[in-house]
Amino acid sequence: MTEPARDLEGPRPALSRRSVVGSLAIAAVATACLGDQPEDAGADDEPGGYAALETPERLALDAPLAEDAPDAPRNDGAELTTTTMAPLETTSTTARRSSTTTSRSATSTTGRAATSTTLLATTVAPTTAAPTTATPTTAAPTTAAPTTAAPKSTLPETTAAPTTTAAPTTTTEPPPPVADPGLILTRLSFGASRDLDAELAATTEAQWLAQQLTLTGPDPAVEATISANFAFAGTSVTEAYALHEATEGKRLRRELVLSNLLRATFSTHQVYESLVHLWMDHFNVNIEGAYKLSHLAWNYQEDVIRANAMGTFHDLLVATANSPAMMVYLDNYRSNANRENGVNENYGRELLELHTLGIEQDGSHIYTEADVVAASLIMSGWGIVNNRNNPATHSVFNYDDGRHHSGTVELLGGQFSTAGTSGKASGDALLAFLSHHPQTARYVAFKLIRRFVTDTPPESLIASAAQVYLANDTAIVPTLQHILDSAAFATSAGAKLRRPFEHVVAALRATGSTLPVDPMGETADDLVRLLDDLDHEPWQWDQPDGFPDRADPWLSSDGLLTRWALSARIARGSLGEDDDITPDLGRLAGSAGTIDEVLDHLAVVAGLGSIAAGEKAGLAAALGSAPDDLVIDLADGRLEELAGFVFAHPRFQVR
Amino acid sequence: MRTLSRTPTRPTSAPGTTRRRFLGGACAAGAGTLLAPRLAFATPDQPALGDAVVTVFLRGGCDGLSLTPPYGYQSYRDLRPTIAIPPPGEVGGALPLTSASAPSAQFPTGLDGVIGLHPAMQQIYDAMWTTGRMAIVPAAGLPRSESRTRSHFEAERYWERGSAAPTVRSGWLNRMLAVQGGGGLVPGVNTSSQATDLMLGSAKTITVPRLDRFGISGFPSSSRAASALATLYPSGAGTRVGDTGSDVLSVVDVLGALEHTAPSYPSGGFGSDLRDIALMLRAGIGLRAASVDLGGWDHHGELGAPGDTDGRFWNRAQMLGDALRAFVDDLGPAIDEVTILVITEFGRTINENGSQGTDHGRGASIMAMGGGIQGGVFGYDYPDVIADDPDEGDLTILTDYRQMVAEVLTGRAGLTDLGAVFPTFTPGTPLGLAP
Repeated sequence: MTEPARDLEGPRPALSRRSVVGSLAIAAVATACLGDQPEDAGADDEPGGYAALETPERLALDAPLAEDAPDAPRNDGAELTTTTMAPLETTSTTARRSSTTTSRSATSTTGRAATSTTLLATTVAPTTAAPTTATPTTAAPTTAAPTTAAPKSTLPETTAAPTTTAAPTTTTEPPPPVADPGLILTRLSFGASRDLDAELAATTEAQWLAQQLTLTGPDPAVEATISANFAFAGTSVTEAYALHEATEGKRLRRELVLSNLLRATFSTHQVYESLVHLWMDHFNVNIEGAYKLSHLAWNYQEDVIRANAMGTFHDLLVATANSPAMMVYLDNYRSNANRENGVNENYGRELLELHTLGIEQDGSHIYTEADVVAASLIMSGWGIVNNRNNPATHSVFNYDDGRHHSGTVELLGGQFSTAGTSGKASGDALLAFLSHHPQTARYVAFKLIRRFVTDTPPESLIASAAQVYLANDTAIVPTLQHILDSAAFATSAGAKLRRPFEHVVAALRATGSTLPVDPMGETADDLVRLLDDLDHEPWQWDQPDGFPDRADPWLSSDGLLTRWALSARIARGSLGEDDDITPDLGRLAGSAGTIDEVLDHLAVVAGLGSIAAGEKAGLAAALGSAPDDLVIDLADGRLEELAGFVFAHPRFQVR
Repeated sequence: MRTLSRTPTRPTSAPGTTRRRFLGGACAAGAGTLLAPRLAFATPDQPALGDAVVTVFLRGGCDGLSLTPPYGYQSYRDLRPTIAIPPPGEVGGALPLTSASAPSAQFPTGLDGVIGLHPAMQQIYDAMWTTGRMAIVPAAGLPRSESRTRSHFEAERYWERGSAAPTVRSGWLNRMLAVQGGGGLVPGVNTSSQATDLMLGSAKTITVPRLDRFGISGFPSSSRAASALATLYPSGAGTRVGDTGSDVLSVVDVLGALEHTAPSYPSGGFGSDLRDIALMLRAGIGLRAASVDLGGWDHHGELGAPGDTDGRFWNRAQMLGDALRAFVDDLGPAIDEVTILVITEFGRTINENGSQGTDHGRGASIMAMGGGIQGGVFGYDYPDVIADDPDEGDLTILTDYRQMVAEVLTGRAGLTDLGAVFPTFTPGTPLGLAP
């Protein structure tokens, strides 16, 4: 019942087409003209390629299987237009309500998944990850020495240099510990999916991860869909303002929500998208309701966060500081150092507390209240044009020297001084100083570890990852690579709770569901309200610390009830209007015949590996059935009901 | 063991209020003792130990100098040229906190008429201040010996944990439940959408952001789903996800069956949270502690000019006062068995900034109200002039916020082991607000 997918698959155009494009620039050009399908635009091509992904009104998981949807139209060369594309029957949705268990269209099982019995175990069993002492030693002490010299008074960007000579610390003597099977996928992606299954059929988890770390930008196929259907796509701040006014504010919120859902669900650049969410939280912005300024969120999402998600932390920090959204959100545009009591401390405080030096443990921060004031003085003048009489330029970032504090200011007991700089350059120097500070290195490492390993990052890994960060001039990818090579990661299965957004996306991916691409459709509105109800709607966290990335706040009674309900609704395809969000019943059914087999198959589809026999018996009993009862008729709804149970399983709640 | 010493006798200036009147008045004879059966909220197998404690957390750092403005201070008006609340009687003037406005109120440290209450709080003022059941503690906070933080996130955690010690990870309201042990079906409820530190800990607490939607839904059959979920979430699984799930399953039928009789509350989440709590308090499910959040107090700019009823602070204060009034009205005589605490993570800068707002400061204004609360203005001191603390700047913290909480927990909620709830706090001289 769990044949390897490759037996059915034949050529895997999706994988070869999408995942190994060496240059994103090239890929982007290629996608600009649809139908340009390298390598395999052969006669047996199927709708799973760029064309299908970009053009349908509903976006389905890219289907690698030629026999999935033989009737699906080709869209070679189709003109991208907004919201007017014909719906495309996706892959095996023809199996919906048909009485069959033989529609194995999306038999997505792989050898990998079948063996991953320890996947998402809630309690971490000590496994094969033997060299637990390896991690601390990988941070060669020799790299530590130069980095401590980094934060010296005013440093123009070039002073980031002292560490760059250090070799990227891939100088591991012992081989990296081997992660539990399935861990890399569940932790580094938004969950098992047909794309992922297809990719894994041709590569190992470790190879997949290595490749993911080279995909430092968005998936061009999904981006093409967004460009084609989203009015805010590609807009400047001033264009977004006009559009936001013209659409009475409704469109923006839907596009923010839908863009995040589409990308998390369908992008093959999963690590990139995961990092985007980390930085969205780290540099949280919420300007909903800010007078005539909420349109800035789009620019912030696209040009600030997404554009820098896998570059250097320094560039990311600088981009946020130069963004009108952040300057508005944290009130820095109100600051005027040249008026009595005119300095607004909001941004200066969070710059230190949340963006750079951080508080990794309560009470442990190295800065003082005086440093908060100092940072606020140095950053005074950074804001927006702020002329409401001229909407075209009102919300554009602007540095106003007339509001800037001109005297010399010091931070951290003289570690930093504005002496020798003036105007905006003082702020630039401060950002360079902060981003290269060892404490910032620790804090960024802490946030990466908390996102990808555990709610309670171990000190040794924080310390060693911080060294890698400094040795690589604040580059994000090598730091993450180091963390993922650690024993702490390898043995961390089940340590992270899926947050609500992640749970929704995981269920959408597991079911192979479609999603609508029209932001003004009814379903897009439903999705906004859904995520709002879950308290996890992108850009709607009102405090500057971002959505919690720990289990504590999310692991609540109501939180579980809501997850369970969503599990059922996604499995049943009742999330959106009409058939906008439709699960792929063929994928859910596999070739299973009995309830027992269905549950085995669903466990694999959902990335759980397996479900205990006692649980299977209990779930069958809940339906008034026995485990060996046949699921003959898909139309009786038992498949969807069982899938809902599986997505409500405790192990589906963790990643 | 630390216990809070408290005066056994009622302060002399308090007239015989109606504070221990139970529903129907049947148990008036036992009203003065915590051992008396509690008709309102007790369950047959779990007699109440004392008041239910409803804690309202004003998230974002509520500006104490606006909530309880020291309107008579010239220094206050000088520091806040555009946002100072004027004296009572003027446009947008403060509500007086005086013995004249509340004959039974106490002002043990000469705070009679020193501060007022924000005018948007008229509703709760009428119901609780003038009847001598609202205690206000200005310039309160976590003392600098434990923390000087002005971070929202640190300060909120410290206030919720009742300590800045890194070893203290649970919330004091949960610890109160844990120390008292036993408990009914639902001893603790948190109405914010996420679990809060205040309610984190070993005692069973349920997160109920919307009672009318609390239930198993989405499945083709809720009963089949309940059966399936019971398989997946057996009690005693020993995992965090598993135990949270089995806890939910143990209460979902009871809570899901509760229905509102629809008393009038202000629209919005805070009102409906309080409405849900009132319903659950009456439901006989053993509820002893509740945590409610009201956010939106981080007014770095445009706090609002005096009398501007569209101002940002006015909006929040009115929501707070109106919803609390609806809660008190809804509870009726049962308010005698409930104490409401209103706390926040810090006060704000004494001066206004260049944006007609205030930044993070120190001393905050907090309050307690309920049938058993002695009304008045309490605290160990209050400055003669509003000025920067010479060490930390901004309003000096004069009273440890735990002093107020401790007196309520021991005096009203039946707590005996205070040290287990506040391990790093040494009680001071009783304020006398929960005799």
